Amino acid sequence: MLKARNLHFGNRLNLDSFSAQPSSLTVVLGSNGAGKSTLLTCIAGLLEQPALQVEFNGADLLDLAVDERAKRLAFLTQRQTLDFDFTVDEVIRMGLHPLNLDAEQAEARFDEIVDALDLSALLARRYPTLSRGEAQRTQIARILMQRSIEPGLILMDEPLTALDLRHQQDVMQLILRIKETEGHCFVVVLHDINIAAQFGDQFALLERGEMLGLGGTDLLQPDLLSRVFEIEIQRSVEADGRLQFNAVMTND
Amino acid sequence: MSNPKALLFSIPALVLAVLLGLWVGPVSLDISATFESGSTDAAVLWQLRLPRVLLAGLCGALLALTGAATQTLFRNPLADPSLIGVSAGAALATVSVVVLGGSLLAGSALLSILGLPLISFAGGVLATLLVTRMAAQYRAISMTALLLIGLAVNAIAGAMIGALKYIADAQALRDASFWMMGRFSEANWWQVALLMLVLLVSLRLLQGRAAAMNLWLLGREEAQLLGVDVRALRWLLILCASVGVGVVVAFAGLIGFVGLMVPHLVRLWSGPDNRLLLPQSALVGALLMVLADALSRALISPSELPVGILTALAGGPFFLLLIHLRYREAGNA
Repeated sequence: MLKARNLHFGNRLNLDSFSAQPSSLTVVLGSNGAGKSTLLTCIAGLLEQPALQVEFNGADLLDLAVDERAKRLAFLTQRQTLDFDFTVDEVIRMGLHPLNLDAEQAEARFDEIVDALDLSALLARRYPTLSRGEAQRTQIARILMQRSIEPGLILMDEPLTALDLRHQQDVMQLILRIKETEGHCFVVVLHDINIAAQFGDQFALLERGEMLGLGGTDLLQPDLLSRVFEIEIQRSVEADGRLQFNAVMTND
Repeated sequence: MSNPKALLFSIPALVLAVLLGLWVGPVSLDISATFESGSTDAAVLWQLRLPRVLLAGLCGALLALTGAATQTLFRNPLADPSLIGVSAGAALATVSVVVLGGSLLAGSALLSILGLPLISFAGGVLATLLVTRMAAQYRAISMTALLLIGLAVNAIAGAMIGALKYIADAQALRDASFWMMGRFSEANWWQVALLMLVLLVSLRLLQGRAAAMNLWLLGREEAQLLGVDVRALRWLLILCASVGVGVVVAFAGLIGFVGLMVPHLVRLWSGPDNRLLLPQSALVGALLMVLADALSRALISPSELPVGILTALAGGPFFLLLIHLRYREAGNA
């Protein structure tokens, strides 16, 4: 269970509390500048805030030494620059650094992720030669390599932005599988409401640093979403029961 | 992938280069005579050539090692202590003392050995802090921002060194000018011992954090999220780079581009992994500097070229080539 209190950072974020269940995927939704990245950065303890408290499965995350924190928390930030010629293989394995996995466990995890994210053909490539989408998949793989053996906390800031539709589904399916088999708590920033509705268990709607709502699928109502995204959004229910959201362009 | 075998080639090559360095010089040595105590040949070998060759090798190793540390610190493969102003800061501090207060250092034996390196080191630390502080404000330390800051720091230090030379007397001016071009001709065993100590300690400290240095290259926050104590690592890199540059500048003057070229060549050969890059750079740096020093003595024998001129002649075009390759790649992306 994740419980964070006093998430305040200038005028970019102003939340009294945030929480998420174990073995769940919380999707953070909001327009540009709503405070989504700031929320993740706060939870990860990367911003200096004296009053902030982040409790995860009974432990105070911010009280832990950085190497202990890295065993429980993995965070995919938006930055993916690396100017040195490490191979994709080497970059993915950097995620193992804080963990004490034995070689067998590490290889099994590596193979599972590389296979699921379609990275096997890229393993020998030099990171600076990758396209944006390839680099993003490599970084996602590195973060998932870092996941703890015990159920841990995994934060991802816009993991799908540079990916094509097929690789977006690959990533989300892998996250879903890891969540259900290992019980990690995922907090993920996404821009696609349909993917959010397909995979999310909980939704956090942010507007100008304030929380408009934190709850299940019933939170995804057209009026609230239209306010969050500052564009009219319509909701329909498909024949198989799936929710479908569309942004409506108005020509006035 | 990394290729640890690369290390095995550098060691015999370095031994051969040292032998070559001992052999080259205005006086041709008789090998048997060099072991007779009191002979001229022995004095030339043990008091002149050996300390000089060792000083050159140690300076090359330290410059290459500090180059690798600087590139890691700035997460930029084109960073080099001489390009971003660290060497200039150390040089300014040293020239100030030579011109303004040389007599203060001559007073005590200990000060005359440690005084210049300490002052030079202080100048290097100040310049490094200035550059890192400024570069950090641009968040992503772009190569352009870093090189522009380095250009400015170099210009300021250069102007102040120029002013000092202007007010210096003829002897101090000549000393400062030769020293600025880089030279090993004043080598002695004290310098060799101190450089050896600095090299072993910094290599040991950096090697212990080599895996963390790899993670640092992903970004400061990314490294912290992977469990690296980033504040301690950053200080270690700043201090190792400044101490290394400081002692080299104090004893051998300004020798540019070694810290840029050597880690680059090593990366081409054995990859960017710092666990291999650091020791391998030190070995290759020593090798190249011993060869450059031998060449500087052989080219216009019995006189000699300042070695800094040779490294700049090789390094300048090398740097232009790197910029060309980098921007050609960037242009295609």
